[in-house]
Amino acid sequence: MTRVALAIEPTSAVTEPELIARVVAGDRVAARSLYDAHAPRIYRLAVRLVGDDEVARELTQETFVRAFRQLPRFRGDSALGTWLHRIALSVGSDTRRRLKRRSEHETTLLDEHDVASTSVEADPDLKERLHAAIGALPEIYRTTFVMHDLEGFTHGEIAEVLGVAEGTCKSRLFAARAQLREALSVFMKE
Amino acid sequence: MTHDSSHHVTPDPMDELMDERLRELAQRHYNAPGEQLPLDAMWSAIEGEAFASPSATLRIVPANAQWFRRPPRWLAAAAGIILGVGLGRMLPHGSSGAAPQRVMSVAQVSRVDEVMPGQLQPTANEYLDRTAALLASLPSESRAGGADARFAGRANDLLLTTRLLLDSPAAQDPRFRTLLEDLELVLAQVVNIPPGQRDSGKAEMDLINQALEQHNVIPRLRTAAAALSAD
Repeated sequence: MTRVALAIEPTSAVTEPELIARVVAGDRVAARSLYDAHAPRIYRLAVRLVGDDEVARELTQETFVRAFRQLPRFRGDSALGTWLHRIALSVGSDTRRRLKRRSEHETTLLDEHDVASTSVEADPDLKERLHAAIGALPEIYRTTFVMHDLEGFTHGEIAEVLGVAEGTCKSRLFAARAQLREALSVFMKE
Repeated sequence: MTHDSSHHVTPDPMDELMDERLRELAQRHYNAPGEQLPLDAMWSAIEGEAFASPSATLRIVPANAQWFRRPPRWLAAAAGIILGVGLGRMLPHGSSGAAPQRVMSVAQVSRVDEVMPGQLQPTANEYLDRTAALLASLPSESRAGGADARFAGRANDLLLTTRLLLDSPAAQDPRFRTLLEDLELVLAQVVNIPPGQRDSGKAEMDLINQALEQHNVIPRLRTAAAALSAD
């Protein structure tokens, strides 16, 4: 059987507002396009914050289900990505509270995730302490630290998502780093 | 990745060094996401919930088209009988020598549930080739300003075949079923492009092209066709 030579040429980009309008009109392909554009970053942040792939997956799913349902009410006052991250953090907060209520064991899983699967480059004890130290940060500090230092969000992006001033965001990061230094200084100097 | 200064106070160089070391360690070891993100699996769950819920505002496109509905089982059974005939007719004349092998008789296919996947392989393979050819020609159609009636007709034929395959044992393979569902959606979009509206038609096709690229539909089509050929 003759095989067809296939090549898809680059096409002109459809803008995000156009995609949003199409999703609101009921277009699943457009919905998938929006999802593809934003889900990787949201999922990565979710894994960082909850420390469990399965929970992060549920969190991401819930974020997009809520977002698609609420999209007709999205007014475009902020960027869609900002709006989606707000939903994700809200869902994440709910998830963490629910899991903490459910059992202390699951809380341990979230806050002090298993470190056995990580690489051998760092001292296992240091990695464990690092985990515990980050997990012990107040939630607002930890979220800021994870978003900025681990996932590369700018202060402007974080401030918009969290609804605070950029200066507040910088202060929180400063405080988070100071707490981590204090908690880990003995290990880092070894 | 951007790391702007975190405070107006001049930082201690030793603190900065330690911050940098901690950041590197944390990036690698604190709840680091894996290389492979479960995007497709998550989308399946999202799609199922967001699109199926009565409160959801989303709907399958085009929701107002009667013919878009999945055929009932009895129709699928009957369709299974004519599937081979239909695909045989769709073949180019140059390949008519191979066409009779693709035609299934009524005796062979009394119920669609009794069709062995092996019997459907030639028709499925031909279908994949024809769909790949149609989708590969989308960019040129897009440049020309949208689909014409002939192009939409080909898409409609393939859409019908897609639904028949979805209701056949060929769809028991989860990966093939997912591919068929994606193709059903894309082909439905192509069919639904309003004829004679060059601007809106072009925008529709650009969007479809974008979705095809993002979902790797063409490579998946080729992989599926190659896998069927190898059987």
